Amino acid sequence: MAQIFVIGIGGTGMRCIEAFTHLCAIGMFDNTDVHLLALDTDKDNGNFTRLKNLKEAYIKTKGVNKKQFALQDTFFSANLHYYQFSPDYSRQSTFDILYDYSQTKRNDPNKSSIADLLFTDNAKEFDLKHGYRAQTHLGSMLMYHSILAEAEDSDVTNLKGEGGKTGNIKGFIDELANACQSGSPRVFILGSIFGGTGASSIPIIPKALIEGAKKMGVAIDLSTAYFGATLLTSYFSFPSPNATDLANQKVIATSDKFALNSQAAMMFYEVDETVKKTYQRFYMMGTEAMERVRSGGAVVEGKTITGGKDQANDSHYIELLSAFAAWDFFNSTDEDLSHLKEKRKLEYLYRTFDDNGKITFEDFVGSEKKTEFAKRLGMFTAMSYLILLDKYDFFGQAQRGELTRVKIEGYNDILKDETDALNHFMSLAHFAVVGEAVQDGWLRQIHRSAGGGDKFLLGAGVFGCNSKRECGNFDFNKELFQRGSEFESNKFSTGLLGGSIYDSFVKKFITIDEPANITNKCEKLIKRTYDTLCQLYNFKS
Amino acid sequence: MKKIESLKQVEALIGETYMYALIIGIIAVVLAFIIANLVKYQGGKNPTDHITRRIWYIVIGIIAPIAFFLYNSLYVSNYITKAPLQAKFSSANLFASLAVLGVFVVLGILTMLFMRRSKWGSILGKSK
Repeated sequence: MAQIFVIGIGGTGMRCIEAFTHLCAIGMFDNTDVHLLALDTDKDNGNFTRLKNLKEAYIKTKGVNKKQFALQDTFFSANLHYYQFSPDYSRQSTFDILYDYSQTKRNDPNKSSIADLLFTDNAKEFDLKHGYRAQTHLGSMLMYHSILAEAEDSDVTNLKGEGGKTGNIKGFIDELANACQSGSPRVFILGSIFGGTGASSIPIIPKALIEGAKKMGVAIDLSTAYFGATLLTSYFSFPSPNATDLANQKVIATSDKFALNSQAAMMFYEVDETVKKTYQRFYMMGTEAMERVRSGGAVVEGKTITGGKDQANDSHYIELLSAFAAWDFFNSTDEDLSHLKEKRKLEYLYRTFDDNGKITFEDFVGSEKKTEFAKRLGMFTAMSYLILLDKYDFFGQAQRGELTRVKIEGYNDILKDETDALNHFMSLAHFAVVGEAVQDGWLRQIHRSAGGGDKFLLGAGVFGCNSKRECGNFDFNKELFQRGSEFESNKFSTGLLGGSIYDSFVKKFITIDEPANITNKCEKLIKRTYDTLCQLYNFKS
Repeated sequence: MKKIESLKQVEALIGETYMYALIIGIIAVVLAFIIANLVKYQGGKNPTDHITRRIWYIVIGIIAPIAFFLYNSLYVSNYITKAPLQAKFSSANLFASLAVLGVFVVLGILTMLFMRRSKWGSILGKSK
């Protein structure tokens, strides 16, 4: 069983972990224990909350109060362990207060002169609760020392992210140390380099983990681990702050400086010895244009939102690309990474999209794995209709024991909490039905960010339904994949005598054997549904 | 159809009637089976597709023996010229019609049990 470690930092990092969690759900990380650490200063951030809801739904889908395992060839195959860490700025919310700067300056000006040299007055006074606001020099120092302080604090117990519980950074370091005992585990860091929290944390995270382990008294050297990260440059913009906001907030990261911030960060990473020593691979990515950020499908206009619950940006396809950078890193050979580590070489990778404006499966995973990705995403999307639409409600039927009419028994043991969690996950992943309307989920948001229409992976019809009725009438048996694409033939007919999608699905489902090696009934049903859909759509399961 | 005038002819007719009863019973099962398969699986809360199939099964189960009985009483028995022979045939007709029902029920339920995980088997309803 493989063990991988993923860290998401800052607002963009949260959305990248969100994309990564969706990859886990579609089954791109079979037989893998995934340790996910969400690192953000802004505890109340809307994206952070969305991620927490998503991981909770994922974990509950795999079983409520049940031991969870990684599986193979199914959805939700990765076993997720979730950890989070947020430096506590609720009481001491500025650099000035945290480091007792004003008093030090009065009593011993020599001691405070380094801060005067490095930080502007505003940088010393802005509220840290909403992140480091492009003040990366300040952010690196604060994040590094917060991690070390947490690791050293004997009052903080070591919490593992197991059994649906949220772990803490000590638990994460401990798991990483355990993994280091039996080899060289891989740690991938997801975050942006144009803002504050991500850009300031990427360079210090490996060192902070290694030093943190020492502070915890762990005897194992964490520097044997391989480290990779995304260098995610500016890809969205938001309204510029007005003079009042600026005066109130002291420091606000403005999107007109994002390109410059990215450039400065990359120049620093390129020459910094610590970065070069600790990382093996960087994945560079960005977009040509910076589109205005959206929230709930609408372009964000007016007031600048520095953070908090109102900052719930829609997802973007570049975040999925970041998640695939992690996928690539974890699928690299040991030889490649050990060679880079031995030579102390830092490799930069990038991928370009075709000029035709269409984003294909191959663009994310290359030609070798494109069918696998198409199968997983396509079948997951098909399953979402069977779950989310009342007219199908397949998992609900199974849970209520209504499949016993064809003597398919045992699924009524599934806990309602588990099917509710699956339903919730699917609504976050694809769409949520609210009355007669549908609300966009992650997949629809990234489709929009890619330009809409048939420019993104699946058929345009998947994204064209704007009401419950339209979704119910959508022929996902025939129009799941794009017309003219190589997966167009992956479809199924409902028969000549007025059949239906649900009828064809249940008929096939009955013929599929129940998986013997899975104990949790909800996961059994998911696996059997996966096998059914693979056969219907002519994919090898 | 020829006129039936002797006891021997009536006895032969009764034998044939039982044979037809068996065939009609089987045809009724096949018809119910086809209709059951045409009724689609229903999604959503409280699906009633199996009840629809059951209703069709019961309707066919009622119609087939009645139609068989009426056919023999109103059409076939007209060819029997003598009243005592007619009486003998009509009691046999009643038993043959019950045989249609018997074949329909026994064959139907046996095949349903055998094909429990199918639309046909769903007529039996939810298992406990």
